[in-house]
Amino acid sequence: MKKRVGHYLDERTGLKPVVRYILDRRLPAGISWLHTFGSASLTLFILMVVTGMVLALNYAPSIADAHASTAYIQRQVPLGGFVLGLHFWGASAMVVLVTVHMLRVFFMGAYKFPRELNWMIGVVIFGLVLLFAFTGYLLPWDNTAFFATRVGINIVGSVPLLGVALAALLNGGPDIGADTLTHFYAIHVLFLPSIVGLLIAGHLYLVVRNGIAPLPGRVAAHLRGRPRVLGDGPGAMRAADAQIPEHPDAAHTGDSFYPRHVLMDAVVSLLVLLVVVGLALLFAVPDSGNANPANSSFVPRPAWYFLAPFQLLKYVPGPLEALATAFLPAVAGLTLLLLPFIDRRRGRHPFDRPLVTSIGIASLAAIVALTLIGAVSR
Amino acid sequence: MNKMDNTNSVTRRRFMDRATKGLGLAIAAIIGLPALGLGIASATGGALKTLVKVSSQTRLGPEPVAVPISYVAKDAWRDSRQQGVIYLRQPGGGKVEALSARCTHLGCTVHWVAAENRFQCPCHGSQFAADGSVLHGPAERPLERLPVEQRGTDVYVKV
Repeated sequence: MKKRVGHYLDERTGLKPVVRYILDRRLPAGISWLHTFGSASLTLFILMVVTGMVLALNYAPSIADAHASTAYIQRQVPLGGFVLGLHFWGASAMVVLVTVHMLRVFFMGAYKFPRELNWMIGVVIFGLVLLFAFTGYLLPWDNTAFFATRVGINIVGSVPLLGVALAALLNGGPDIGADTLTHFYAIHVLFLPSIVGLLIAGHLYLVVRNGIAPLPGRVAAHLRGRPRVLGDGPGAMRAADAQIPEHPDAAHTGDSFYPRHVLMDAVVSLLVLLVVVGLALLFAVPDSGNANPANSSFVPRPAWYFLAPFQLLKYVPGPLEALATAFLPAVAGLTLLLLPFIDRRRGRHPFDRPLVTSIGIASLAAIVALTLIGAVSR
Repeated sequence: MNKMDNTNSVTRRRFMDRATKGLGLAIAAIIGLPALGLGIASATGGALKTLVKVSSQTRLGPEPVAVPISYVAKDAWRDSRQQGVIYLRQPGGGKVEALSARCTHLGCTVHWVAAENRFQCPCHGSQFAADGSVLHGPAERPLERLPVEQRGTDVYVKV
């Protein structure tokens, strides 16, 4: 029966060879648990889409109803508090996993030829995940959400030249209000899921097309440095890129993708999900009461993943603020995006790229330190 | 998937295949079941009944009298004011009876036609007797009897 259905479908779709190709493709030797964070992120994305869809069944995106409907979901709809918890803690898990996935690719130098475009897609997805988090944070319309978002938008507004226009675009008006909530809601549930969904499809296509990067091996000293471009034209450039050596066993000699690696993906995805389920069961989603713009005693605190920039602003003297709100993020974002074109030397091993590796570790340490200081300081 | 002659590796492969499918099922259940539960729960929440005090200016008899009602009902997270009409009658000077004015066919509001001594539905022509029983289809069930509480001279109806 199963065979006949499969045959029927394949006759009409021709998908069987495609699925076979994806499942049976050989991976490079030495692919490890470190290579499972991408699929765990995908699992979380599916969790967020599914829980988000059912939360929308009872959520009302207007400032008169947003907080009351969220409280109704949390306290009265059966399973509502649990599903809200899955979505709330899933957001944090998403930020963590996408970051860890990105760090793995960064330190293994897997963004080099032929995977530059997929790295760039990944950087864009990372940025959109942060925008997902920022827009979703406001939706419960409690005091924390309201005041933290106002600070966030004001930071955007302090960016030279474009800031005011960008802030107005987010606010949907001069200040945070009814239009802000509907703007954030539309961005969060319509714009971002469709854009990120398409980007993920492209990301996965390129992973299958270009294969998973083999583990980085050391490159002999005389071979380091930029590959020489012989002749001119796009073909020559490609040939030069191809000189970046992958692993000595660059030929894909490892296991097939299915079942061993899929099993490892499933194990990590399940563990991540269990952590999110545990958090949702143990800790209720905090509710600081219906947003009251007149509340002058409320001290806004951002979500933990925005603590680093929040803390940084405390150290920057007023006149230099644009340095921290615009220049630094722009430089960091562009550097990440264009990394494959900046770091064009041969060699993927972290020790073959001491400068890039050191800058990466220093930036990571700074972000972690700022986040920790921001978390303990009141 | 390649067939291998080595019996051991076939077993190992089959184990991994089974384990992958099992874990995949667990992942789908963790994501799907709470969502499904919430989806179903938010569609099956029964409406809360509200006890409404009704007052009738006319003296009640066996003939149904339309009485407008207005009350605050819990609608999900909102308190919303509901307005409507019900019919009261007191056959033979006994207990007060309350009938919903909502036709049991498709929910239009029925009218009492005193000259013909029956309820008439304006939508599809259903007709009901003074006690709510069906005189003429397409409705198949009698008009809903609403629970009544009498406290002294006051009448309370659960809607």
